[in-house]
Amino acid sequence: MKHIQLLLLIVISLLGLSLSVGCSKNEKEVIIYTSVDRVYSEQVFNQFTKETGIKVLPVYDVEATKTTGLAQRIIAERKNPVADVFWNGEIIYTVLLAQEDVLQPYVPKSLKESIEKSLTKDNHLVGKDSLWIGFGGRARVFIINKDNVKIEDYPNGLGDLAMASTYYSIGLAKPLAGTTATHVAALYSVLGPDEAKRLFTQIQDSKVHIVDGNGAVRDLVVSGQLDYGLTDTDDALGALEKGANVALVFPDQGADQPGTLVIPNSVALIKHGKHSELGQQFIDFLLELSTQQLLIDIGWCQLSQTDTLLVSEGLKPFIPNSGKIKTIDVDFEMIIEKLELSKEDMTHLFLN
Amino acid sequence: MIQLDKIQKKEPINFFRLVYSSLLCLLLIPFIFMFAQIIGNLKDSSSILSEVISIRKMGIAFKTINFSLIVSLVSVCIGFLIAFAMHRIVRKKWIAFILLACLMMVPSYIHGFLWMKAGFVFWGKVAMSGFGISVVSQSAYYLPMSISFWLVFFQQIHKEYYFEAQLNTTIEKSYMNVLLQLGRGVGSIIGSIIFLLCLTDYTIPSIFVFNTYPIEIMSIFASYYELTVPVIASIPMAMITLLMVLIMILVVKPDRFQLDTQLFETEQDKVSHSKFRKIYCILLVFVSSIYLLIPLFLFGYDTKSSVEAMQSLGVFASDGIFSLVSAGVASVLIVAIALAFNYYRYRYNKKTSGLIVGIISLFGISGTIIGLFVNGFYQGLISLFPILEGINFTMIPMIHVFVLRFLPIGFFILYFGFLQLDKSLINVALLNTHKHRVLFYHCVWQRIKSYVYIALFSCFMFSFGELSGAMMVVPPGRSTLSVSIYNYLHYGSTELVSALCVLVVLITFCIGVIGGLVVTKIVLLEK
Repeated sequence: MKHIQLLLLIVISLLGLSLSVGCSKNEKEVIIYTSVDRVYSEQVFNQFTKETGIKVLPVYDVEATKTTGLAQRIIAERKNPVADVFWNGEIIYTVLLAQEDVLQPYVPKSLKESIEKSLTKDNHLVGKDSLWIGFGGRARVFIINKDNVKIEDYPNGLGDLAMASTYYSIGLAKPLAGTTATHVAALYSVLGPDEAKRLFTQIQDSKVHIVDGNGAVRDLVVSGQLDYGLTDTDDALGALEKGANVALVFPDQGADQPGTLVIPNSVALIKHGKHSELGQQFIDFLLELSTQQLLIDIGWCQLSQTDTLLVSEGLKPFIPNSGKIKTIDVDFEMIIEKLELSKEDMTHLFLN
Repeated sequence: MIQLDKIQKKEPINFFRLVYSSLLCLLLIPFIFMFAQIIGNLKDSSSILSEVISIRKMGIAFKTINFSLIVSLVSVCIGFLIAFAMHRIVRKKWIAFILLACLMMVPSYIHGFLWMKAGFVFWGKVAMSGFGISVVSQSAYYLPMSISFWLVFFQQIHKEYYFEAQLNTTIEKSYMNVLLQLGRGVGSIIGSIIFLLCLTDYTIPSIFVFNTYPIEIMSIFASYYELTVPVIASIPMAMITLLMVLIMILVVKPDRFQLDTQLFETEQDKVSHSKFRKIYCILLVFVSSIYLLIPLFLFGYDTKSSVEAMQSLGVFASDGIFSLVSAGVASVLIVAIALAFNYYRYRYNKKTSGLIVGIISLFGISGTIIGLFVNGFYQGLISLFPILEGINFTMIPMIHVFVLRFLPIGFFILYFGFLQLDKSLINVALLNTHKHRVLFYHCVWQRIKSYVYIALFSCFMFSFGELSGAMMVVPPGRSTLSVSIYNYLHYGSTELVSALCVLVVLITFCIGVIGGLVVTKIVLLEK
């Protein structure tokens, strides 16, 4: 029976280890739930710890559940909030969390003045009652394989997705989650549900290839299996940095077109978080100009929508001749109203 | 016989039984919490039902069943042939088991991305069907598991079956007749396990944009904030699981046969299988070519970056240990509970099949939903007893999620393991002794241990690779290796992903070697 005793000892040791792991609690710790990829957010957390001495305990999202998982977790923890701050790589679920009453108002130091002047409010980057703050951003762009597509055939708007697929193979990420879902909802808000649905019905009819995510669109365009596709600037710049022979185009820049969608990051303080003051310090840090620049330098954000316009170096060659990117003027709190309808339509169009 | 009946009725008050029952009840509390919450929220049941039961959703459910059936059939059949070839050719089986275990630990999403990276999504400009490529990729993922299960089965076949099989007919026919007859039950178990796993795995179909029911549940989950709809939407999956288990019971029950684990040493030289060789070679080349993709993926990038990535693995050591310990504890707990429960049922002739089948059908509920309810349960507990705040920083909620998620798998494997045991065995043993320990160890353990090892490894493997359930309860400041790999994979840090995959394979290899040594030591002690 010696071996049974040995096995019992191993089991008890493992149980003991499982209880002890992570038990050490430091007063100078802030818990941040983030849907920003670890490869980027970790660098910001390290910088924050270096500057303030506050240790960050992050919980990262799983790409499989997009931001939904973390948002659901925050709601499940409503009775006893574990997180202090929610830093979202996009904005939709932050607005939804605000509606769920799990966020706490906070006006960051750097925005106090502009909020008083209502400047930022007009840009739709501050939530109702200052429950969340939008900053930085990724744009939705076309990534084009230069070997496969002639310059004169480069797409210039989303309408081209519906027109050109007889000549070119085009990719689009599943429009049900992540930034693609936000993009669709934004178009529903700007163009109106009927017009937007008509556009996506045409896209579906023209046999655009629906793939798993923006990363897959990029990979398939880079390998030449797709000629071009719609993706995010962070994915596209990743390909450029690796030397891929691709070009980027900001869609819908014409006078009669709605413009390119820029999806900001968002950050919010969790209601009744246990380290609210430290959380506020983190939000202040995140909104500093130097941190915005850091986010651009490491490749997470490509644009900054603060008073000073910051643009990633890699993106500069692709900025339209006017030197300015025309962006969709959209109220993110209004997008939410269209989200359910747009998802329902997209499910019926693309996932049957 | 009268005496035997008396013995059967005599149930000693057993401390361990009490502990196990309480543990099982405690673990299942989040499910009770979940059902109570859902019943409380059922305000507009008609609209929820219309959301869940629609022609479109039923179509997707049917497509998913179809997909799972094809994958399980392909994996079981190809697995059978390869395992048989390995059983006949490979002499050092433990090496084969360790290698298979390493292959089994390559997560499903890595398989999906391998096929995508290898260019199987498009043939030139022609897009492949999401269904077809998902079937191929998913079958390849389950193949090592199928081979391992079959190998265990072949190990347990009495050598006389082989010789008797040759007496009257050709080798091919005799082998196929004997093995297929004996293997019907085992094949059903392997097929149903793969079917159930396939029914709830969303990663590979998601990569190839083949819409299955679990993906549908995920999108429902993304659209609703209160969890009533996603949980109700999971019910058809639970029903299908239940149906599958019932069918399997019907298939397996009449197929009991007595196993003799002492007779492993089949005289391989006396049995020719030259006529099969060509088929085996083709199959082995096919399977090897699938797995050749893995090293290509692991080392096919810039060598300098790969070296840097391997050097940066130290950062993930704590994630690795964290995943290892949580998955290890969870799998031990699962197997301990499932073993105790099934042994109790076998020993005392208890009619607990309903409860066991009920637990198995819980596998239809996705990890994300289980994770959320476990989290909600613990936060509710902490808000009542603030002294328990520290639980959030331990592995306990995560182990709890793993146990609830994979308890059905443990129950499933051991339930069928016990179904294979002859009831008269314990009756005869009872004539000699009533001691639980002796009865269990000398009578049951010897015949059930292969199933215990399979259950242990399967639960460990699935817990180690669990993504969405883990994310709902992972302590702040921690991450599992699986979550890290998945996230990096999506953002193209390929060298780092490759290095992380190597880490997973190395961990499995070490566990395989250590596990092999422990088992060998135990066998030696027994002798």
